[in-house]
Amino acid sequence: MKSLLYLSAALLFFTACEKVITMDVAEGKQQLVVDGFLTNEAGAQKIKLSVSQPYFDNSSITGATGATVKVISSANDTFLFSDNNNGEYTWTPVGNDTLCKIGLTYTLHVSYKGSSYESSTDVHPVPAVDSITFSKGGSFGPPSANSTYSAQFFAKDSAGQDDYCWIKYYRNDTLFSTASDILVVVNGALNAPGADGFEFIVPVRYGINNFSKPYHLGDSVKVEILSITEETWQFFNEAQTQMTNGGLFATPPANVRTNIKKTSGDGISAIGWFSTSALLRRTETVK
Amino acid sequence: MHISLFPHHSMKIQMRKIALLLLLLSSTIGFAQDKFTISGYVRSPEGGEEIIGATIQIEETGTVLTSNDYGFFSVTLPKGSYTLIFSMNGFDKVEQKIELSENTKLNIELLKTVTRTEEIKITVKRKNDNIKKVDMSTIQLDIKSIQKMPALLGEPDVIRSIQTLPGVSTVGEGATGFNVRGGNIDQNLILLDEAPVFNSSHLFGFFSVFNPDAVKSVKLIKGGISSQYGGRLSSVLDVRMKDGNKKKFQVNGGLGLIFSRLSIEGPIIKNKASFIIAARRSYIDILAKPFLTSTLKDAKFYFYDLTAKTNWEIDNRNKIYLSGYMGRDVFGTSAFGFNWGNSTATLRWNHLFNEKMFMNVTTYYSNYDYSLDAGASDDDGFHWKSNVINYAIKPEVTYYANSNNTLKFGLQSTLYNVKPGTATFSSAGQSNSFTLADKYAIESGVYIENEQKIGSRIIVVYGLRYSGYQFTGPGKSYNYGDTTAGIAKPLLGTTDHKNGEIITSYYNPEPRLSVKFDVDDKSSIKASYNRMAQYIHLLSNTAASTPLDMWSLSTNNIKPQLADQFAVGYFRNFGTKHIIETSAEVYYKWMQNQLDYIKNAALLLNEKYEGDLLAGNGRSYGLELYAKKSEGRLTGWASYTFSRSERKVASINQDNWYPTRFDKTHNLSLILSYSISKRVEVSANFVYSTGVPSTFPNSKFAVQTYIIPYTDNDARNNFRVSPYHRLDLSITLKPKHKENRKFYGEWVASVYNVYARQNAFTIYFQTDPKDPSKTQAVRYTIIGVAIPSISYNFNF
Repeated sequence: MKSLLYLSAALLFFTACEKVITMDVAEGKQQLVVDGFLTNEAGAQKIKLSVSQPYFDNSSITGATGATVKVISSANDTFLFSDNNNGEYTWTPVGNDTLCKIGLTYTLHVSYKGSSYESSTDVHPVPAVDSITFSKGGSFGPPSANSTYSAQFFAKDSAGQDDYCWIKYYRNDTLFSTASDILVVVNGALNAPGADGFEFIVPVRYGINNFSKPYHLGDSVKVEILSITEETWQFFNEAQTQMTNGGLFATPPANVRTNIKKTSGDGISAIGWFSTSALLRRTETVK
Repeated sequence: MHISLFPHHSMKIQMRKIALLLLLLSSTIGFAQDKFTISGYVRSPEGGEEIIGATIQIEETGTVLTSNDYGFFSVTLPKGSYTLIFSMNGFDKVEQKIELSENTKLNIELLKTVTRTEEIKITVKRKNDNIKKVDMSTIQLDIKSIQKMPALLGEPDVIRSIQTLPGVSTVGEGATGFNVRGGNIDQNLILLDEAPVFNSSHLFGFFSVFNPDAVKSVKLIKGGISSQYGGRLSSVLDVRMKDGNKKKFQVNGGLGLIFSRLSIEGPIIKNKASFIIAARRSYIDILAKPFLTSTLKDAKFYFYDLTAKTNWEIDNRNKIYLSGYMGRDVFGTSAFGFNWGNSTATLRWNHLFNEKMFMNVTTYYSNYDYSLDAGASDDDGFHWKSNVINYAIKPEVTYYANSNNTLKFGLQSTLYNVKPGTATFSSAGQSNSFTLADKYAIESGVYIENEQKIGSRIIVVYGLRYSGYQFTGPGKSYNYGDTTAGIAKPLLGTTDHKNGEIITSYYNPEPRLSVKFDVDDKSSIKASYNRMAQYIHLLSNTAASTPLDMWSLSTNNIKPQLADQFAVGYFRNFGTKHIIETSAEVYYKWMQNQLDYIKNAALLLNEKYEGDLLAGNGRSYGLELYAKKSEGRLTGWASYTFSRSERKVASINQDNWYPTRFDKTHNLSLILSYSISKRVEVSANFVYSTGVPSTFPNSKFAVQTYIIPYTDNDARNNFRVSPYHRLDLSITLKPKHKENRKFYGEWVASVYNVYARQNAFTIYFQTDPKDPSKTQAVRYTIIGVAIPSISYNFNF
């Protein structure tokens, strides 16, 4: 019997690396950018207008001032947003009035440099954050002996229709605000039909943890659930893909959708997003 | 299921045409009384393995034959005396004189060059197989030359070697699959003992599923594709497994930092039946464990595969082969994971009706599946599984009519069952599942081909494959409305179909033609045309294909892909013994119904995915230069490809042609090995290629806390990343030569990416992690350092 044995000792460095590079890319056309995310919370609500910039222009964003901004509800109420002269437009309630009443449709009207822009969306019901629990260990997964904690939130999807939510989470009142922190769900799951009327599923329940910024004893953890439309859910998914489009499985860059339409005028075209949400939140301290 | 193979009327007409063609052919094939047949098998002496693709030249007539995929050859000649010269890369040539006065059986054992003995007469003159054969755009690699190349982590790999051949490119290091002459990775028919492999990669694309210990031969066919093959547009990668040593038991093993390998082979009945079982398991995860942080402590990333084969020579006329492959890749942590794997099983029956008529019947089963899991327990989580299963039968007859004509005809029928997926959601003990309905289809082909020698200089192979495809019930078909190209087509309604009901049929005649003309004894000109049809498509919208990409059948909404390819080549050998083989080929390929995707297409777990697909045309053309030297102290090959590969799809790139992701203008590979002495051998690889095209945004806008990239002109692949180049080196130290040495050991040291080039795989755009108000471009490199490795091989 003849045998062949092969013995190998390999030094292994599976090293992917990333390097910031400079590039020469032609500049794109300037467009009006609408950033309108409104909620049913008490108090003032803001809409931001700005102009788009060349990708490698890292000067600060220029606000678009001098526009007229108003929102009209399907109950025929008009909400005027006043120009703060820095690109921000504010609506201040009179008494206990709020925007974003569940079941109503809201239409945004913007007039800027002689052109008019419009966008419509509606407000859906939102599930409550029932509880937030903590377990000692890494920021995701089962507990292990460590000084950091992972958080899990519980909420229950309502059965029947497809419900879309945007989940915002904060550590000590600081929003987790990077592209990879975006957490949007459908029926309490990340994607696809199938789940309905469930407790929000794993891994969504653990979605409020960020590897690089784990929770510690005594931290306050705030979770907000905002009801959104299917379109807004798509917008967030697309935006997250385009902002984190690296690695082996990058997709061809594609523009995210926009729901802002120019209705009249010869001015610049507009991009951006208008969304109206009902919001519920809960805050717990890590203990 | 009740489905006639070819229910369509046009098929009957086509069958009549084929019958006519058969008649025509038989009239050219005379049956003279004073002719006799020499037939037999070409084998290797050590294990008795049949040798595929050995060349047999008859000196007196200049006839050139090739042993078939089972080592069989047959030639009919007038009575007389002949000299047969058997040759094969890696083996010494054998010359056999024959006094032909009756039908003669001739089983020849070739000797491996290293184990040469004095009794066999060796011819020194090169016989120019590459010039004489009609095959073009085809390269057969022996496993030995694959093993000589400096390899990543010292592990030789079939697919990575293929990527150094002319006309073959890849989107980048670590990417699954390979691209041939401007074709997508799903356009390669990858066969392991005739069963199709749907994903040829382990660890994404770093290693391939083929265990080199169990591989006998590897053949890549890029053009002039024989009518026996069908179902993919761009190439055939035909990998054949070893049969197993018929004479004695043998154990091969390996220990490495990446995998361990073990194979056992040996006779079941000496010289009649044998087997081989080969297994691999990677364990980088175990070794990496100490270096992982607490949250990744339980990370799994490993693969394993098992290859097994057995064969039984029942008698002189009948032989049976049974082979199988099973492999799986597993990735994840306790909270999230996915795994994928192929399994194939092939049963083959070789039957010799007589010395002139050889039949092979193959049946196979092939399954590719993947699953995705999230959640630590069954009560809380998400599980999704998807499969592509196919069953096929493929009888083929080769009729060695006379020394001028070899006729091949056969059938192939495949039943596909695609299970796009069942997703199960569970939370707090409640669960629900969502299933995308199974899809069924039958793909069939009937073909006939004749290889005809005209005079002493010309060989023509002409054939026709007629393929038919039925998308059948049980299942659902979807009816979409028209819309502006580029946005999801609206679903108008669905129709349920009963078991066996034909939803849509497609038929395609696929003519094939190859011609060879000998210019002189050291050069020839070859030309070919082939039309190919493809009925199953990989839906992939990412830079490198992911293991979770879905395979889709052709449906009422997805038309089969078609390709027409023309190629012309000049083949010439140089040197006193004609030891340098060179070729120059040009090709043009036109492809129809190439799939692309709308912006932000949703392809996974989307019942309405067909609405997100776009179809367009593709074209590719190029020049391929290849030089190979397989004898002497310096061996290796050089290949250079100049090519263009483009698509035109409505709504993409403003409806203009755009380069594909794997379009590389220049692509150069140098693969060299040099024996410094009997004990020391050095090898080097150098590769250079133009950077792949990519799409870059020209503006950005801010919404909430996010800065989103944006392009105002909808361009696709409008920039190129920097060129790719890399050098790998290795040195092999062998022991002193000793008679009757029982123990043999050699050291191999290698360095991959010697000068640590940081080749760009992609360039992507993100906000500056240190200052979220700023944005930047990031070059992503898969392997950006030099990777040294050392291994010790020994056998006794």
